[in-house]
Amino acid sequence: MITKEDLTTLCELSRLYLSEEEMESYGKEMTDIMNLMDTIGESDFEYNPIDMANAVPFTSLRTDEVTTFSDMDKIVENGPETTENQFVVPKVVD
Amino acid sequence: MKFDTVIGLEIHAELSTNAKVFCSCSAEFGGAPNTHICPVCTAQPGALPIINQSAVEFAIRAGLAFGCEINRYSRFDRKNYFYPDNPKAYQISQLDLPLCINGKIELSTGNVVRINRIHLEEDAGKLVHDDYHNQSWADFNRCSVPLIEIVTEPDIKSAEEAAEVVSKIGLYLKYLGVCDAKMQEGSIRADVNISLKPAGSDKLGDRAELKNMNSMRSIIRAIEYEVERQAEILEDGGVVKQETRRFDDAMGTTSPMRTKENANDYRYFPEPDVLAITFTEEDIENAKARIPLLPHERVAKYVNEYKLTDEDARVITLEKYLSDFYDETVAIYPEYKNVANLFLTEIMRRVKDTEAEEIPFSAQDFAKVVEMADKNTVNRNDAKTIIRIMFEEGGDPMEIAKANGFIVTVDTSAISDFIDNLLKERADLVEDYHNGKQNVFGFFMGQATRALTGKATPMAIKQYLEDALKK
Amino acid sequence: MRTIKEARQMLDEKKISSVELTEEYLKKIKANNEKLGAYITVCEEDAIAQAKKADEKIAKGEASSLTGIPMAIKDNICTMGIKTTCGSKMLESYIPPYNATVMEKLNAEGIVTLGKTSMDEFAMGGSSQTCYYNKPKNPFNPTCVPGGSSGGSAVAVSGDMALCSLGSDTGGSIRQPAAFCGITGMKPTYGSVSRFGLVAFGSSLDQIGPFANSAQDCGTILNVISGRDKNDHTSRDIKLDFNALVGEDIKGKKIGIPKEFFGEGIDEEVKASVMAVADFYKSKGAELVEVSMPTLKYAVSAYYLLACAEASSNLSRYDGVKYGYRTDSPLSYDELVKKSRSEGFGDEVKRRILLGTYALSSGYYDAYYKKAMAVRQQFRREQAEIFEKCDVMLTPTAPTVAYGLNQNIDDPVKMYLADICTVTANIVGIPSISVPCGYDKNGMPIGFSISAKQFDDAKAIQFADIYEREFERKYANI
Repeated sequence: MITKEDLTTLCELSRLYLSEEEMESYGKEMTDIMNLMDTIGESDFEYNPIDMANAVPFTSLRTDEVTTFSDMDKIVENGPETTENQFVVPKVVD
Repeated sequence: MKFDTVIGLEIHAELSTNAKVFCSCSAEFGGAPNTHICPVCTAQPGALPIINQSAVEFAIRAGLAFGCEINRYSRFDRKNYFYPDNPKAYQISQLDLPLCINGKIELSTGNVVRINRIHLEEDAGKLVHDDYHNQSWADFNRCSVPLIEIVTEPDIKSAEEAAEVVSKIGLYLKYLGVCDAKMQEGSIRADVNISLKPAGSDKLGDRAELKNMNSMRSIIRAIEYEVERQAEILEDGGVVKQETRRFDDAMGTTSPMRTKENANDYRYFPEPDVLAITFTEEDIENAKARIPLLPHERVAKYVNEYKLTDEDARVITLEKYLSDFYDETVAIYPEYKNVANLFLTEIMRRVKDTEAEEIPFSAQDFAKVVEMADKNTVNRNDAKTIIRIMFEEGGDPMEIAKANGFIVTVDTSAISDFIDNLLKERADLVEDYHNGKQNVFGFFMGQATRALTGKATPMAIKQYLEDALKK
Repeated sequence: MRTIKEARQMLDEKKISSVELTEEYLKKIKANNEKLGAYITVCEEDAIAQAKKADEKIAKGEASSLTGIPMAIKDNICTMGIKTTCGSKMLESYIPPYNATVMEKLNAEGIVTLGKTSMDEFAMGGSSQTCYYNKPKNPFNPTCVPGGSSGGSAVAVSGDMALCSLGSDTGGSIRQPAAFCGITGMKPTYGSVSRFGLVAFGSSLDQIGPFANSAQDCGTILNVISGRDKNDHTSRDIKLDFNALVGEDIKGKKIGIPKEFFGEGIDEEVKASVMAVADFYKSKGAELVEVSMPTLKYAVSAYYLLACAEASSNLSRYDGVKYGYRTDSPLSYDELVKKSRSEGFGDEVKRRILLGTYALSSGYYDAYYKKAMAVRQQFRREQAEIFEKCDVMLTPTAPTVAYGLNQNIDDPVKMYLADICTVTANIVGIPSISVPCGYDKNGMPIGFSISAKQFDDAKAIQFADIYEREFERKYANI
């Protein structure tokens, strides 16, 4: 059961807004989906963090050479709001 | 009520690789905004990280220098959080299987601080705040510059010890050639976890985390302030809130951070785009081979082999470039003590408070000056003047000596004239000398050297005088 | 003309020029794209320009296998200078500053890019109906879905609006639409084709692959786009010849038939049709071996937990700061991000982001994400056993044929369960190719899949090709 509280936390973590109606419908759908997902709870296989199928030797890693990307301007051009070649957001305070 | 201070450090050091850790952009400090960027470090849709071998090697080099074990299988994880300086909205870091674990640092107090782990991760971008328009501007040049995070156990007992740990780590990273450790450029910075516990008790209290300390001074001041703050709370029977706090340099106080730092769930999980790395014994040996003599090893060498005093040895090794310069010099002219003396008096004091970590002349030239002084080609005071000129105007030591008439010439006729006639005048003393009054020799020496400065070296005078007295 | 092979011959023999060929397809696109919604973006001028270049290459006798071949590209593969929307409002105006590695390779060959094809938003769906733009329809019956997420790429080939196309497959997104649209589609071994420039959904599952009218054509395309890429750490340094075994007979070869794939929930007509394929192979001297995949019952949950967990992280970069949709005059950074994402993403994407966030959040990680990882490792062991006994594995590609538009859409659970036949290949990273093997009573295509062990892609193509040689393929009439 995905409660309203769960959903509120998830929205905060995912940076999403849901309207009241959406809260309702999503809550219901998510609950159904999680009921399906919960079947995995019955499985009891050991997870081994050392997974050689997804490892490569140190010596195969990329060598430390600089290459300059030729279209930096295009990256900045894609910015919805930019000033002085920087990406602009409402001021963040910490 | 008395309290013990318990401090743990998380030290972030930027690695001085050529390229970034997950893309091939330059990792160099500075540059106009967004001029060291590419699709990868700006998180373009579809772009993928590719890990830099040197970044990994630098990290394990550091681990080995601090006596860490190297995980033969090391993996990367994603740390998820939203912030404008973090384009992917996750940082590639390491959680369960970091590169290095279980090291230690010994302090001058004799206290040994255990290192929990050293892991490799990527730096974030830079934000500048425009208060007038109430905006923040993001520059991604620093994004994905390699960082190591060195995490200590809470073994540190005072602000001074904390400062020593930070400076020692900085110094060692410099010696290792993996980080330039410039606090003012943020290439090394520390998070401080600090808590108090009743004196003698072994249960840890709730801790506050002080973020991004970037000067020794602020580390010390922040800890001292925090110790007082927490002590007051505890004495009033209160509880210290477990939270992240920022140190205000101007006020000299700490205050809670407003960011969601304090209520964050980073949702770490294995980074699917970067495969885990495995190491062979050979890989580790190669990394070891790249570790130069470290400060404590150089001190030992200077004291045991070069017979320098412990103090002198320690001072020379305070900066890598100075220690390197000394080593170069004695390699050319192995008069260890004489080199050390002129080095400590004439070079150290001139470079002590300079930013530029370099000496404006070569070890060859410096060796030449020391040799000239030793061989009396010039006298010691003039040698010092030559070094001063080499600092201020540069130039070849011999040329400088000639130009300033420092070269001690040997005029044999002048010696014989003066001494012959001196011995004639004081035949009485000559007799005393032959009757065993050895100290008379000293008197003649004094007279001669004084009269013959610039015309003869003490060596030559001594020679002639001895022969003359034998007659 | 329906295959690259035929087109290649005509181009090389100068019976047709690449420009003529391209214009033919552009004409068909003009006529049918409105109705079938295969393309989001059509690159008319660029295509002609590329075709001209290709003709010069051919004239100089420098043509290689794909020179001058008109192709459609799924809109989640970055094309420098050409809008790449991922079927989302979020990237409505996004123009990539770089090319995906597969595009670099195809362009070097001198292919003709006809356009970018419609898809489920961020490849999240099995019907292509979550596409923010013109939703693709099934050429065999426009009131039915073409499958998804690579629906547009399947429709482009099935509807004869491209000779071949590229799609991406995270849980069946190439094979299932191939089956629904009556064409051939292949997901190669994970790591055989670079993902650099493929907009990420589930990074450990995503793989680019081809659609075409024959298994051999798929092999021809894969021979060009596969290989180690220094820009994709997960791409493996194994050079495959995908058509190496084409034409070799299969006498004595063993075909695994996992019983779990022929149980309840699988449509009877589909079952019968796929069993007929098994008999065909038997008649060719292959041996049928019943095998079992007990862990299959966890496949859908494991798949969605892993895919959504990775997606929740992969899609966090869409924050309205660097590119893409940005909400109007936000008051704070927090509002900028939340509103941009809430307004820019569709329902299914939001649902999966929330699901993935849930699976990774503290307190639930062990119960969901970690369990799914354990199941994944178990799957690898099970499949390894199967492929010790068998050369390939035969399964239906989808439990049913293409269903009506808007059917299932409102029931995510039903949608998710429909992926049961395809997700394991992604979880384990093995190659799998879907081939048409029949048509149901309403004339809708049915497809079967041949899977092999990692990097045994050539075997899958060998078996698919043998079947195709004798199967009478029908084409949609539009």
